[in-house]
Amino acid sequence: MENNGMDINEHFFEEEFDNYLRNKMDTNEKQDFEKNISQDEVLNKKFQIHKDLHSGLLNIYKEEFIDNLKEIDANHPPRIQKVKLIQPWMKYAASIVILVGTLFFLTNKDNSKELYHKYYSHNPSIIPINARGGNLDEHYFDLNQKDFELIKRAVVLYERKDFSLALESFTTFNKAYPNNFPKAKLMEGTCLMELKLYDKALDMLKPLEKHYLNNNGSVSWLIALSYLGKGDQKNCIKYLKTEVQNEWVNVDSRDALLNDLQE
Amino acid sequence: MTNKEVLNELKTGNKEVIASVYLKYRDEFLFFLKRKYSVNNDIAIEVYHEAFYAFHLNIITGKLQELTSSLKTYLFQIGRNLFLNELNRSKRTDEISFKSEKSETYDHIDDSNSEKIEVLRKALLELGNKCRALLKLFYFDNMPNELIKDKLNYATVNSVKTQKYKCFNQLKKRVLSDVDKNDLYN
Repeated sequence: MENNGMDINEHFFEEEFDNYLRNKMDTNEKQDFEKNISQDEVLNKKFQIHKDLHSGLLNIYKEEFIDNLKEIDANHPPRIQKVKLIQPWMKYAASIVILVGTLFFLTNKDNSKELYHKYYSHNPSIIPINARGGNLDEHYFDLNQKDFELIKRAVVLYERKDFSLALESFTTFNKAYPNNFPKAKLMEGTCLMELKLYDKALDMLKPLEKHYLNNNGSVSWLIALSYLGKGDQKNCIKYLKTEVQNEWVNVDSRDALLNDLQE
Repeated sequence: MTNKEVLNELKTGNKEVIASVYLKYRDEFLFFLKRKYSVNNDIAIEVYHEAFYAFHLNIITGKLQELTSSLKTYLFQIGRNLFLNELNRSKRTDEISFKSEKSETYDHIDDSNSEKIEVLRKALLELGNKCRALLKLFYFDNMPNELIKDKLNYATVNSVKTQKYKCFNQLKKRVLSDVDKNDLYN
């Protein structure tokens, strides 16, 4: 049946196809439609072609729609905001920390650095190594030439207060002789203290504590000062009271520091 | 403009309103997605495009007729869901891409049919402007025939139906002719 260039049946079916694909049918109509399609192979083939074209058109229109959005982006580029790692609540938390910190500072003024400089002497004379002016203990003479020159250079640099370079030489030397030459290790520890590397100084000095070097209490004193240097007054006091006791040569210094710390 | 007025303007395809709403929430959405899910800018904007498309589709198909939340909340929720769905999919495929994401309303042609789409695209371009406009209003904008009649100056609704039928069949003939040559439907 033709009418105005239109096949009425074809037109009817295409309307049905569109109504189905555009969700314009109620549940019963949908079910009837699906039943008819499944029972009529010719109609089913026509529907599949219609469905393909419908899907293809939607795909093309979607691309066009998104291309338009991209054009808007090109004309109005997004204002890139850097994502802040600080969340709003963190600001309040930080304010509280600063406030508490300030109050703590005002009420508990940390005088560790001041006390450290009062009690620590540069290039302390208490270091029991006979290397003043580069003269080493006799047993260093048993070293091979290379290592002898290395430790001699370390001591000379130490005497010159060039602690960074001295530390390098002491570290190299002590790695080569991990179980010998405790005085060289003590000097490496004091280099670390001079360079304000207190945690590393503690690691170096603590194993020396029970050694004969501590006979005059120098190692314990340096450990206590290392705690003080890093601001750990609690451990410094504990250390002074427990470890730096009878063997301490300068009891007056120990008591004076304890007194200053406990004021 | 109230939300209802905005929805009505979007439904009629008002390009200025579409651009205005799109831009209004874009930067905030990109910031939201980047901060919450640590994605880069390219992914964030791809998600926003898809979210805005789905939002637009929901309006024109009548799925969204009235907002129970703010427009921004609704749009962000679509974007968030799209992103999380894609994230779950990418855990299986190790690839994040929204290009093949299915829309909420229609099925898309998959990659194997991309050749057919190219044939269709070419056939569409060969149609007259009025035919192209009519098909787009009908299929994409989901516009009722009564509105299409007014918009494209047809005399009656039946003229719209007849013309739509003719345009679609013209397109189908061109596609099938090209497809037969390329043997795509066999």
